[in-house]
Amino acid sequence: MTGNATFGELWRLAAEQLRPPIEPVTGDPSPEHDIRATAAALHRMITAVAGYLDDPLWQAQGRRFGPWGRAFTEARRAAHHAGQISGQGLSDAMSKPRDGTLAARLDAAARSLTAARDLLHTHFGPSPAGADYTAAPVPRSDWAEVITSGPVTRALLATVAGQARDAAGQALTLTLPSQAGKRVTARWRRIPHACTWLQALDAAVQAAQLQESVTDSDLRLLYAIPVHDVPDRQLPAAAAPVAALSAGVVTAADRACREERGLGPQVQWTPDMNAAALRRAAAACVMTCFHCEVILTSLAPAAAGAGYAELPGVLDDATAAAGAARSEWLAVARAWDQMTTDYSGFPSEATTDIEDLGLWTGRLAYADPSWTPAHGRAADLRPSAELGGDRAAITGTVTAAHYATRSVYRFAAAGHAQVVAAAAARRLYVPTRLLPESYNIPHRIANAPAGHVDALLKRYDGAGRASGRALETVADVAERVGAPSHVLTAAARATGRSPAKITPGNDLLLQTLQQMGVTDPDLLHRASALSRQAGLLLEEGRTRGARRYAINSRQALPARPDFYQQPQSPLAGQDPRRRAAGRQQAAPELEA
Amino acid sequence: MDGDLRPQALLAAAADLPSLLAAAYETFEHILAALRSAEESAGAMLPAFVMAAAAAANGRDAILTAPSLPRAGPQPPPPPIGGTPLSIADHAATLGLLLESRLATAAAGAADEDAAGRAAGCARRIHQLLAPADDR
Repeated sequence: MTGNATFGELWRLAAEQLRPPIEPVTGDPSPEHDIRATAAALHRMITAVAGYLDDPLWQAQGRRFGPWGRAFTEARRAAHHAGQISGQGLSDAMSKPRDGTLAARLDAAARSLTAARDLLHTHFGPSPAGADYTAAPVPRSDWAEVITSGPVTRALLATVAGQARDAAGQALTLTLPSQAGKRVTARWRRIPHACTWLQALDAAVQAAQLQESVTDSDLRLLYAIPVHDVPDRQLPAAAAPVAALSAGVVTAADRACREERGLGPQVQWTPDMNAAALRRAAAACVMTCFHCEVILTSLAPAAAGAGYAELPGVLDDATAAAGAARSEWLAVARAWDQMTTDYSGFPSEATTDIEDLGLWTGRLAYADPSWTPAHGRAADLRPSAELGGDRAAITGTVTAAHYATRSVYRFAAAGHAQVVAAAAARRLYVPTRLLPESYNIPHRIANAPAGHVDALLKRYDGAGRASGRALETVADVAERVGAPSHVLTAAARATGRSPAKITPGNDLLLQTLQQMGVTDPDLLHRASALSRQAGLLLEEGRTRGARRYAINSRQALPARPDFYQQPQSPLAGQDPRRRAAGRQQAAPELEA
Repeated sequence: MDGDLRPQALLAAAADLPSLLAAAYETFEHILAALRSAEESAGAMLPAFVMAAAAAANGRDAILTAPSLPRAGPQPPPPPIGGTPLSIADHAATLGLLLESRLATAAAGAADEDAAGRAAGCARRIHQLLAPADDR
C-alpha cells in the first residue's frame, strides 16, 4: 500500500533459499571445503534465529504463562544449544561458501532473516538513556505495537521455527565424503547434532500450535509489516489519475497518523497544538469525512456493476456512518469557536498533514483536476466509473477511504488528549460573554470553567465514537472487496485498538477523575494507561476463557463487561433495507 | 440580513488603531456566526465554509493578542445572520477582503504588527476560500 519493502518480502527470500535446489551443483566439488563452509553457514543461520528469540522486543512473550510462553522459553534454550554446538571450532577463514552450494543458500537465508529483523526494528528508536541492553526499545510508529502484540509475536515465533526446521532439513542432507579426515568428520558430526536442537526448537513451537494455533490472518499481518519510513509531504498534481490520487490519500493519511503518534495519553501541552491548530484540524476532519461520504456514495453504482451485488447496501451503511462522523466533527469545530488557548500561532505539522488529507480526498471525490476547498461553488462529482470501473479501481478507492477514516478516528483521540493536557496546564480560555454575570472580568476572555472543558471533551468523545463507527463500516467494505487495507483491521485487532473497544468515551477511569475535578496531568495520564491495560487484560481473559469454555463445557460465555461495551444501535439486527429506511428518522438518536 | 452592514460601518468608522482592532474583532465574530448559520446547507461548499470559519475564529483570537485592543466588558453575542449559503459566502468574502486591507496597512510598524498581520492573513484566507474564482 505504501510501496515500502515488507517483512514478508524479506522472509520469502529466506524461505526460497531453504528449499531444495532444482539443479544439482556441477563442477568439481571440494567436499571438505563444503562441509566447513556449511558448518559455518549453519552457525550463522542459527545465530540469526537466536537473534529473534533473544531480542528484547519479544522478551515479554517469554515471561508469559501458557503454551506460547513455554514454547518461547524452550525455543530460546534450543537455539542456544544449537549455537553452542555449531559454533565450535569455526573461524572466518574457512567459511567462504561456493556459489550455488547448500552453504551459500544457508548464508543467504541467514542474511535475509537478519534483514527482516532489522526491518522490524525500524519501528523502534533506541532504548531509553541509561537502560541496559535488555530494555525494550522505544516505539516510534503505529506498527511498533503490532510487532510486539501477542498474535504477531506468536506468528513470528511460528515462522522462525519453520525456518529453523527447513534449515535443519537442508543441512541434514550433507553427506560425509569417504576420504574425510578426522577434523572434517568431527565438524560434520556437529551439523546433525546442532540440527537436532533446531528440530527441538520447532517441536516446542508445534506443541504450542496444537493448543493455540497461529491464524492465517496473524501471519498475513506479520508479512504485511512495512519498513518504517516517514514519507515526504506530497501535494496532488493537477489532473492526477484516480490510482495516483488513491495512493496519495494513503500516504497523506499515513503521515497524519505518524504525526498523531506522541499525542496519546502521555501527551503534554505544547504551543504548536494550540486552538488555531486544533480548529484547523477539526475543520480538516469535517472535510475528510464529507469527502469520504461523497466517494462512497459515488462508488455504489460502479460496485454493483462490477459484480459486488451486496456492496451497495454496505456502502450505504458506510456513507451514513461517514455522514454521522462529519456531523460530530462539525460539533467539535463549533465548540472551538467558544474556546481558545493562550497561544494561537503557527499550526503543527500534524495539522498540516490532516489538511493535506482533506485536499487529497477532495481531489478523489471531485472531477475538477485542480480542486481545492475554494472550488466548492462549481464542484462536479467524479464519475462513478472512474472510482470503481474495475476491481483494481474499487479496491484502490476503498483503501483510500479506509486510510482516511482511520486517520480521522485517530485524530479524535489525539484532540481529546490535547484538550486534557491544555486544561491541566490551565491554557484554555473562553469569551467572558459566555460566563455568568457574577464574573466581573474586564477582559474579553477568561480561564475556561470545568463545565466548558467537559463540553469540549464530550464533543471529541462524540467525534471519536462516530469516526470509529465510520472506520468499522469502511473496514467492512474493505474486507468484502479484498482491499489491501484490510491489514489495518487485523492490526487493530492484534493490538486491541479496535474502534469498538477503545474510544475516548470508554476511558471510564479518566472520565471519573475529570468529574472529580482532577486536573493533575500525572494522575490523568496514569488513569488513561490503567484503563488501557485493564481493557487488554479483560480481552485476554475473555479469549482464554472462551477456549476453556469451549473445551470443558457448552456453557454460554459471560458477556463482555459493561466497561467495554459500545452502545447498541437501536436498529441493530434489523433487515438492512429497513435500517436504511429507518435511518431517515432515527439519525439523531443514532448519532447521539 | 439584519446586522450585515454593521461590520462594514464599524471598519469604515475606525479612525485609530484601537477602534480598528475592536471593529476587526467584531467583524471576525460576525463572519464566524454567518458561516456557522449556513454550513449545514452549504453542500459542496462545506469544506470552504468550515475552513473559513476556522480562519475567522483564528483571526479573532489573533486580534486578542494585540496590545492596543481596548479592554472591554462582556460582549454581546453576534446578531443572527440569514441568507443563502451563496450570499453568505459572498458577504464573508467581501468582509475578508476589507479586513485584510485595513489590518495590513493600519498596524504597520506598530507594536500590534504581529497580531494584526496574523489576523490579516486569516482574513485573506477567508476571502480566498469563499470568493468566486474570478474575484480572487
